[in-house]
Amino acid sequence: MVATSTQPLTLSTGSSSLVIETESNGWARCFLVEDKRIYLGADSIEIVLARLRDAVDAMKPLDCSAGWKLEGLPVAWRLSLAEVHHVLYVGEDEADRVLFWQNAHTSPVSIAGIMRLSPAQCQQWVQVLSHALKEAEEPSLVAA
Amino acid sequence: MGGETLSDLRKPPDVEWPEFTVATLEAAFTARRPVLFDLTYVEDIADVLKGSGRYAAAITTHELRYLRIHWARFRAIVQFYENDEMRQPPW
Repeated sequence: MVATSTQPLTLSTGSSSLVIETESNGWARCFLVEDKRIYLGADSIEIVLARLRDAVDAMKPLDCSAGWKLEGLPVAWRLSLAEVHHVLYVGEDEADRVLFWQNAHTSPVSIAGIMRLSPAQCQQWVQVLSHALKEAEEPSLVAA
Repeated sequence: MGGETLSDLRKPPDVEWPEFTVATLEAAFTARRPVLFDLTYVEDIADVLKGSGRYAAAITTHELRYLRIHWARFRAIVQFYENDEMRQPPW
């Protein structure tokens, strides 16, 4: 799970992967790869990385006070992507973080994919995302 | 530049985007809350406004067409910008 400024960033759960492809202008497109590759949407790389990091950071408690549930699990909103507009909601199931990617282009809305991360995987994602975010914000410092 | 962008909108999971985005725009109008519309990454604006092209079904298309139809009201609160600079509406 290593990213450079020219390679896509791939974050894996073992059964599925989230792939982030960044254009030279900083626009980042996100794909969920399981048995097929689903385009989730896009936003600036800083927003995508920071929101994803918040979603999987076990040190940051989820605020599920809105009463929203997906698949019976209380969830908090984390990110609304542009272009094809999938939405990321996050829940907690015992110690695991569960990422729900909602497809907003179906009627009624549906779940495009679910990613379950163990505490160890969350920690690994946080490290990778933090490094990538630092690189996106201050590329010269990381390169040095 | 401040303000909220699409990535900040906390859509309830049981609500569809077209319904939610129109409700959000109307709520902003009622509250006279400024709306900043970023066109920096919007491709093929001419097609978007016609409702055709690659992102014909995208929410941005829906929003822009809604704003154009109701521009007499929304011109008071909506400001477009591109590459961090204010610009005129794309129609």
